Amino acid sequence: MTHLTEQQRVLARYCEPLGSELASHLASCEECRTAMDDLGRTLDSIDDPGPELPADYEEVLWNRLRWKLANRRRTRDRWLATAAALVLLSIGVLAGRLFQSSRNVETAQAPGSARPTHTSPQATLATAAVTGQVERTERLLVEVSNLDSGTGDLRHETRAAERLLATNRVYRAVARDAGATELAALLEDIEPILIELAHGGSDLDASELEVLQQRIESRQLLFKLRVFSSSLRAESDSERLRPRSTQL
Amino acid sequence: MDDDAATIRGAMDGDPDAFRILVERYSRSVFRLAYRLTRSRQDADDIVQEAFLRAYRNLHAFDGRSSFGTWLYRIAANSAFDMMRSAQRHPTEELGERDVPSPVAKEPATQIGIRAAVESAMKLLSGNERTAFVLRHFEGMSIDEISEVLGIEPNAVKNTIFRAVRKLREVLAPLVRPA
Repeated sequence: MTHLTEQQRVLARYCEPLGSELASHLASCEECRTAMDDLGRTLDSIDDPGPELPADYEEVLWNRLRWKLANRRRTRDRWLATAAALVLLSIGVLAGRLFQSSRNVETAQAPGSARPTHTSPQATLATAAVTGQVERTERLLVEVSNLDSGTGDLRHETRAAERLLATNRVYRAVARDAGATELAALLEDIEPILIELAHGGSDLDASELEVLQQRIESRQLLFKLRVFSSSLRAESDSERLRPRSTQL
Repeated sequence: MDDDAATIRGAMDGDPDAFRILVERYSRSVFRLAYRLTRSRQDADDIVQEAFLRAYRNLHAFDGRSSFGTWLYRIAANSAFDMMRSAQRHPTEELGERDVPSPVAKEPATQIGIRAAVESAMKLLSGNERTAFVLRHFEGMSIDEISEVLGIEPNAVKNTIFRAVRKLREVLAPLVRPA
């Protein structure tokens, strides 16, 4: 019987038990046993405690971390507050625009009535914020839908989902409270997908990724997002083309 | 640890004292792992901080399938691995003294202490080899867990460990061989 190779000895030590044939050879072969013992002695000698850490290591580390965590929370809160303000503004503007449109329909029937007024820069900014959120979500879902099941690293998608999830929650709540039911329903549909990606994205295995892709497809999320972002863009374009001087 | 679950729940609910307990409980062992991987105290410090920050941000993703310690080790190993990969991609910018094989590695092993020999031998390993070996030898991770950390197939992990052991033996065997 041939002796154990170096690779077989290393694998036996670290990776997998020897098969019965090799094990019985090892038991009866002095040369292989000596080689195994040599390997064992060498590997057992590898002890690496690393540098001594000071007694207050944990305290010093915690003080650094506490500051960074607080900073991170403050940044996130500021960003969420800004996003919430933009959404509130946006919902208000959309509602106001609907109201204005209905008034214009009525007044346009009367001779000498005013044409629609131009939207403020703030309103344009607010619409852009909602459009941006919808378009970023659409891009992420397109990326996820196109991933191969063998793709191992979803860290980029996970981070993107984390960022979108935070704002999605704010936008959804505000949209619901403001009565923008279509937007609220769309954001509610998207949220479970974002949660799944944000919470388990980098750990998703091939079958979980496939399930996620099927959910995106079965709920027609990409289609809904495209329709919504197209209508927002169309709305924005019509605003730009509308004449600034409205009084004849 | 048995009481990790309650502490993690507290941390998830935003209790900073709960997260502090986790930092106190695991920071030394995470540091040891990071140091073994990077051979640099400064890099190990950075990795410990990064690992805890990532863990805090992703606490909601911890599902308890593995222990909190294993989960945290995986985050730290990934951080270290990212750092080593980055150092390999930008050698002139980021490779420190730690990544250059020390002249001491070429000296006869009998002239240096075994710890110094280990130190030198570890520097001869590539990032993948070092990570796979440290996770298996010191941390006792399974081949499948290492495969997950490195993002390579289990069979490739086995080959990587074999290559690492062969390089280590070249330096260490003369020192430990019985007279």
